[in-house]
Amino acid sequence: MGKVVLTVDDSASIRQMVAFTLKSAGYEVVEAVDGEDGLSKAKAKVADLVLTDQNMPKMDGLTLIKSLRGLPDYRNKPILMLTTESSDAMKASGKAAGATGWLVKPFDPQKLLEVVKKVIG
Amino acid sequence: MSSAKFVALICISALLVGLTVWFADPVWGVLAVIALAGLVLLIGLRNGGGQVAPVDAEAPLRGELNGLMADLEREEKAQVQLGIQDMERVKELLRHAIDELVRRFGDMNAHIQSQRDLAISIVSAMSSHEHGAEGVSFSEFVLNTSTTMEAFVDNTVNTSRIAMGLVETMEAIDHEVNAIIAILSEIESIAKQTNLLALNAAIEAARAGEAGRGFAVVADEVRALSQRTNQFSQQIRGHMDGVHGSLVKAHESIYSVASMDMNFALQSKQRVQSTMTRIGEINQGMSQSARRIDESAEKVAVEVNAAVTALQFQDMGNQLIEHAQQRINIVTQMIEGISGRIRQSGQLSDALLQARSALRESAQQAAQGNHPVKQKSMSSGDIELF
Repeated sequence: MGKVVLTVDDSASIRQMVAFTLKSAGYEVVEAVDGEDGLSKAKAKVADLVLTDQNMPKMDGLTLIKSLRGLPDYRNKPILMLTTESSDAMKASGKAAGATGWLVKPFDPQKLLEVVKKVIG
Repeated sequence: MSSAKFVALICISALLVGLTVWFADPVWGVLAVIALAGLVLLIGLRNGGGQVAPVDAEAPLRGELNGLMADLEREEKAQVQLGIQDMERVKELLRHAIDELVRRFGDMNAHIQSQRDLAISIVSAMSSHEHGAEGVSFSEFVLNTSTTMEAFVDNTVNTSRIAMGLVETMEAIDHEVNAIIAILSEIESIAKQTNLLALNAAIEAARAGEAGRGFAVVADEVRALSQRTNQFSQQIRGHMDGVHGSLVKAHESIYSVASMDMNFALQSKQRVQSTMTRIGEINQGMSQSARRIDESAEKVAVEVNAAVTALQFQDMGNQLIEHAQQRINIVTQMIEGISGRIRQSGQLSDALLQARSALRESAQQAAQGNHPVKQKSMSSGDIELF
């Protein structure tokens, strides 16, 4: 059974791309459409890695990270930000919120796989 | 009265005064100057009167301005609404198209993966050296077949060579048999002579009479012996003839084996060797082709990855369109703000001041908005692990 990756993005196409990239490498992928959905799915099934967008309706990525870090299951789980935001200020606030890493869109599927392998094996 | 008529009136008056001063008496000149002064005073009074009664003049302008602002607000809102609707349609079209493309590329990726797996299994089946459940690999099968065929042909050639040896041995045996038969003739002739000698001895014994009676018995016995010798010799000859006949038959059979055309076997060996070499080459060629299929499938996978990276423009485009929509809404708010302030303020000058400050406030608000997409190309973004 592969490790579970939760991908949170309001763009269906990005979710699809992340899903087929990771599924082809044997990971199990759970999709969520925004921060709120991501939080409830993260609670329903504990993921080994959370991959989240920043700008989303209802709840943004930074808030999701802060909420997840408050849960015992996610205190030490890797959480990666996958967003179009590339400013140093945003990255700094991501780091402060508890993000493990920052990936600027567009992502190269091969590089995404490498990072995921590096983080959860 | 319009200003053009005023100017014309003043010019005509000035001309009359000038002509009067030039041609008429000084008295008329003074009167003309006074009349001109009166006219100028009248004009001055008229213009001064405009400043004294401002409300009457501004009222229609205010009405016009308020009407203009209401029209502007309405038209701008209608156009903005249409523009935003168009943008929503673009977003929706992009979303459908890109979702479909991503799904197709995902399928393509899966097909490419299975193609690569197949190519790899072909390569490993053709060149594998491990003895799995399937037994030997194809190249080993070719090698085994070749070795077996060679051994078979070698055995056939060997058999032929041994048969040749046998033929020679047979000929030697037959030669010996013939020699024995020749010796038998000699024995028969000795027996014949012995018989004749015994006959002569018997005659001589008869002639000697009673004294030769014992000798006659011996001579008869010698004659009987010679006849038995001849009989044995005849028997041996009969057997030897049988042996000779069998040898001739065996010689014929073995000779036919030995003289069989070995070229056929040698040619077969060469054919088998060249066929196996060809099969080996085909095998290698197929293996190489399978490897090339795998390589090109790998390249396709790289291209699919690049396409997937590029397809993410939809996510960025979507955010940019949303940002543009926000900016358009800000323009609407600016116009609404300016229009509201103008309609609420009393004096025109105050209205203009209010409008400018409303614009400034909106501009400051707009400048604070965060721009989510700064990328200018679709090359893949930075990765940073904290």
